[in-house]
Amino acid sequence: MIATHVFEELQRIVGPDYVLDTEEDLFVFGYDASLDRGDPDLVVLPGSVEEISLVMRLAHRYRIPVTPRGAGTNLSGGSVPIHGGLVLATTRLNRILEIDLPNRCAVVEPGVFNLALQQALQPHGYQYAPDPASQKVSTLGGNIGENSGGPHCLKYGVTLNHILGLEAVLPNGDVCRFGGRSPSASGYDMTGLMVGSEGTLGVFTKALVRIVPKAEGVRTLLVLFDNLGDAGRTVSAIISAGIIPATLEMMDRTVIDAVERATQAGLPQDVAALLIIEVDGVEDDLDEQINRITAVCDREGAREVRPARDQTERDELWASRRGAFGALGQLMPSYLVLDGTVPRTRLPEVLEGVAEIGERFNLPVGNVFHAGDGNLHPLFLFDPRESGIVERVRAAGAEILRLCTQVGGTITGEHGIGLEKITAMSLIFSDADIEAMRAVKRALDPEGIMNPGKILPAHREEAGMETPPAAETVDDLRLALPDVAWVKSTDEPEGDAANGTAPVLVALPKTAEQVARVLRAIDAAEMIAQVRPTHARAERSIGDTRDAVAVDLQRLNGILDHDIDNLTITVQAACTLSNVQKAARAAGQWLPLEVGDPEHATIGGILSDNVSGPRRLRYGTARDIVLGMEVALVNGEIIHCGGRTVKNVAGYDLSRLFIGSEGTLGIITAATFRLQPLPSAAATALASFEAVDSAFAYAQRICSSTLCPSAVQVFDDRSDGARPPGAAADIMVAVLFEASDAVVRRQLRDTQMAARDCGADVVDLPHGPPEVALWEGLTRSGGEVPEEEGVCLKASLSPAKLVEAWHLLDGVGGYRQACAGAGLLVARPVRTDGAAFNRLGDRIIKLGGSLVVYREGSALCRLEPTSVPIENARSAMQRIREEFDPKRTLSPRSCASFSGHCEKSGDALLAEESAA
Amino acid sequence: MGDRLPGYDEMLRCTRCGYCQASCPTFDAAHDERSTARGLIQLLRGVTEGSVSFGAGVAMPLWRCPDCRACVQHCPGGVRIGEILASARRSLSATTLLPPSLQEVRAQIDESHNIQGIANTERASACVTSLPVPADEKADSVFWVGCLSGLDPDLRSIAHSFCGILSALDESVQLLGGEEWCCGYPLYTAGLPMEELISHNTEILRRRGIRRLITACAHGYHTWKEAYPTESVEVVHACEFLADASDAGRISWANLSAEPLLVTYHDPCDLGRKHGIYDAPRRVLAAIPGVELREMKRSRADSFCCGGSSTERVDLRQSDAIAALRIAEAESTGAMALVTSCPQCKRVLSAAATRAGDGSMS
Repeated sequence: MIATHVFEELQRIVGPDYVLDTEEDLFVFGYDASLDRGDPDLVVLPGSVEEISLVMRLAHRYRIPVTPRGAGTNLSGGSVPIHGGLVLATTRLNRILEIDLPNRCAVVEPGVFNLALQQALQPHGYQYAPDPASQKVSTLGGNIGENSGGPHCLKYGVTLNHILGLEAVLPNGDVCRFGGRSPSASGYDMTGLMVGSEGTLGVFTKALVRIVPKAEGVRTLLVLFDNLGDAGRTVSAIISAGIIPATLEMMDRTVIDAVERATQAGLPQDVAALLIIEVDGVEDDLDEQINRITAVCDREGAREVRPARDQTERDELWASRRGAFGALGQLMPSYLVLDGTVPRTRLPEVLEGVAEIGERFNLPVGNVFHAGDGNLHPLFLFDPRESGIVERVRAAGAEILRLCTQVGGTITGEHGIGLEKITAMSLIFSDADIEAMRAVKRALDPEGIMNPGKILPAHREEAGMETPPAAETVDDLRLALPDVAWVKSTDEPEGDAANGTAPVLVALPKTAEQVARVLRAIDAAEMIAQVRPTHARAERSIGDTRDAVAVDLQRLNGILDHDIDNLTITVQAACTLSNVQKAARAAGQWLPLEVGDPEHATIGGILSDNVSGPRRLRYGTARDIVLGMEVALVNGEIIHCGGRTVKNVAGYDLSRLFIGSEGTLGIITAATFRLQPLPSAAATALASFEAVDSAFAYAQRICSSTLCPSAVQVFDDRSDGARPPGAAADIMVAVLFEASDAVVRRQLRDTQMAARDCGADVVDLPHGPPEVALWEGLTRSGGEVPEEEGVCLKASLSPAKLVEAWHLLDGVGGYRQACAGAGLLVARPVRTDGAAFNRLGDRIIKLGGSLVVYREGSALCRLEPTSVPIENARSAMQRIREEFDPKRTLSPRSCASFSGHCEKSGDALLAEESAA
Repeated sequence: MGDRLPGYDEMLRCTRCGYCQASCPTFDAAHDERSTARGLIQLLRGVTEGSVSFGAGVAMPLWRCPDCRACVQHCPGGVRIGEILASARRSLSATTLLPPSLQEVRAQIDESHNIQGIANTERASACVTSLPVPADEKADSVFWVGCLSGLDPDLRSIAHSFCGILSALDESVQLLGGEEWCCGYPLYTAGLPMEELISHNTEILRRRGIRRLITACAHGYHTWKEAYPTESVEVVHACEFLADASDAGRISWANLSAEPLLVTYHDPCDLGRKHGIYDAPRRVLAAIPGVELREMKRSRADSFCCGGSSTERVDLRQSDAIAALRIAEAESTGAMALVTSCPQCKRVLSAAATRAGDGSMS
């Protein structure tokens, strides 16, 4: 029950019309599209972020549960208010605030319907890629909360991959801003954490979403099968042939029957299954892709491959797919839809298993799902009037989830855990994993008022790990863990005693379990853990007198698993990038990560620093390709986040939190990645410009076109190693294309024409070694510089502001390079002092960007915009760190400014100058 | 268990997917989950299962629904939403929950056989100046004037102009004058009994030897088609009549001055979604020289309600809000005129266009 004065206060905040309390209103805000329901005490419909903040403050003060809600179309009970309290619907915040074409993003409020955004983008030739079947009625706030997928996510990625930033109100009422138009805001990837958090961490009030130019062409195929297993094998065969269509959807006979009754779309009724396959992209390649797919289908026993003749046929096919869940009402009054995800190679056997479970429980089952992602949607059909049926259906559902996890899959690919799958969480997560998620929840919602009872199972019994006595000296440490190999640092050839960061002891753990135990012992002994070779950032803060112990991961350098057909790889932290690439390349694949020094850079280091290279434009950064992670925490636990499937929304996505956390939350010991097929051809369009402005105008034009470049780099010609032969002008732009030969050639042609249009000289760059050398050079020069040469300045801005920032860096000397599509600008080597850095930083901030100075690959100081929402965000990150590493045993002086130990502005430089 | 409402089995088929909200006018206008098909069906299910009481909180959203049936169009499960809601309204009609405005219109129809509560003999007068009087009593067609175009001062021009066309085409029709009683649309959509009207009107047509009923009213067309026994009478809407006449070359449009005019067309729910009449009005528009049709974002089966119907009597504020949304959509086409085939749509949208203010669209 809500007290009268709280009710009145709510009415004052949102207006009396927007606090609903009638029996009927409460009833209709108590359900979603799942089988669960609950009864809220009140429904509030705030109209602004300010109102939401005030409502949350009030709820926080009086410990009232709050369940956020969009259109209430979700499928796992996430918006069902099981603990009463308030339902907070964000449907009134339904404006598209901005469509920013130059930066290829849009700012939307949470109540905007997914389709409304698509329609608004249509005239500009753009789209927002995630397309859940419910897109006509589901809101973007809900999509983000659930990390929604959709058919086109196979090629374009799920919601997470399209959210650049968020404004959210935390449970305590704080308005926070996470992420933004410039690519590398400091601190944790809170955006990545919030996406898919199912309304348990905060209420979204604005989202900055990525938009992409609509593909130039599209082809759609309907493929018919007489046998369900053949259809499953075909999916696996297409993926393992390295073809990634835009969509790869499957429907079985039951669903086809229902859809046909609902829409009379003309689907054949006598088949066992059908696939809807769509390819899109540059026109020249589509027919070739269709031919390859058709050949695979024929080989795997398809009865018929039927191309959609025109847009109408295509629309009809999609209408039948989108309406499939609802259409099942044609067969039976109710259904339970599951959402398990499995490695795609396991689809045929899992489909058999689903049928078997249906038979065993005597329940009709239909399948309609995102086969290309391995994301199953078995639907059990039932009549709720039959007694005991719901229990039977739920039991069958639990069997399906168990089946998915048994083959290395997970329990939800896009619908979320919500209420429905809480008990299945233990199928994929250990107590320690769930405890780590609870730590995040505690950090942001200590009172537990935000959508309580969702995602996280009720608190486990405190088993309590046995606590050994804390070591007081380094010798105690060695004695406490005799099975771990220890080296006294004096035995090391290069002790770094000079700057006081030398470790007194080095541990060489062999396993993740040893890493965790070592970490726990160091933490208990009140020492500092210095992780190697992954990051060099364990310097103490001023006044910190703790001993440092190095945890050297060099023995954790193996490749644990490479599922060639599923295009995934699991590697240990100290494995070098070049070793991963070697293994992948042998299978015709590659890992889309780039660093300047792949022979030495380790996976753990790359992830914890979130290193990216030029090709992030097309393939994204680590957050977009990491599927799962193993992490050792200071409490001695090893946790696993994510998994091995390409879609996974089970629990909080903690791996996003660890990526780029600079080792402040735990030690990454292994990670699983999504691999890409090696492109069959590549080519670079190189153009030289006399004017910086025309170079950037050209780069923007390419990024906004329907072409599909892997990288667009603007650089000046003083590059070390990146300077191409024959370059005369000051500014160069290199555009890399990777695809089939025909597509590469066509894109190269278009690009070179555009370059000439923009007044450039097209530079002839021979294929092969010179081209490889150019890109290696460009990747290298985004990285470290030897200390004696100076430091490296990195600015991150919205892409459209890069050109102004470039000019601001005119005076600093060194070599400049910009990742034009992503909004990164590097100048190196540079000599700067604190005052100059501060001046420059202020100007970059005025452009909405941030500036960091790196020395030997470590961030030294950072200047970035600030505001109340940004400070609130930092404080939220701070609280997360407190939960994971309360003693700051890990990376105590990380420059991630949220940690409170970063020397803000140029103070670090100034301090050194005065010391000198 | 509470009152077992008819249609309970059908209610169970709603999977709460929410797709019905996609084009729901009451949802768009008020964001009110209760007045969507999903909300109403769940409430009615709750009533039947005893978890919701059958009071004004269920009744009002039910009356507020304009029965535009966009939800039916969008429901992937093919749930017979119209039938569920209609039977629920019938269950309510005999209760005290019937809104005063509906009680009033019922009384007016009972007393004067029209919705305005004025002398029913006025009906023919709208046509008098255009048709030879008395109309041809031997004709086997009737022009069904309707309460709106026959008696509403703002809408009489519809009957007047259409009779002018009939007369110009030498088309013989009968006029029923005061013998034409309200078709019963407001009662029909509200689930109120209307047997007396049906039997009277059917009997008149039988007695007059009518084989074809032509009406310019979309409500009348819908009611006749759906609620009346019409085996012996063909029901034709004016736009169908005009389209056929135009296609047959009976109307010489060439005499019209071919002023270029950009128009948009609003599909009345009662003709379009309910009876599939989409092409006839567009055929007429295509035949008129100079007229160019630009469709709204939502047209034909996806057409968006004007806010009229009986809902207007129940909640004027909501009706106005819906109409404003539709007018904004029409204006975004850039059209100078909004064309429709229903007197109620015309009245509601004209008023909304005037309120919207810039008066650029007629």
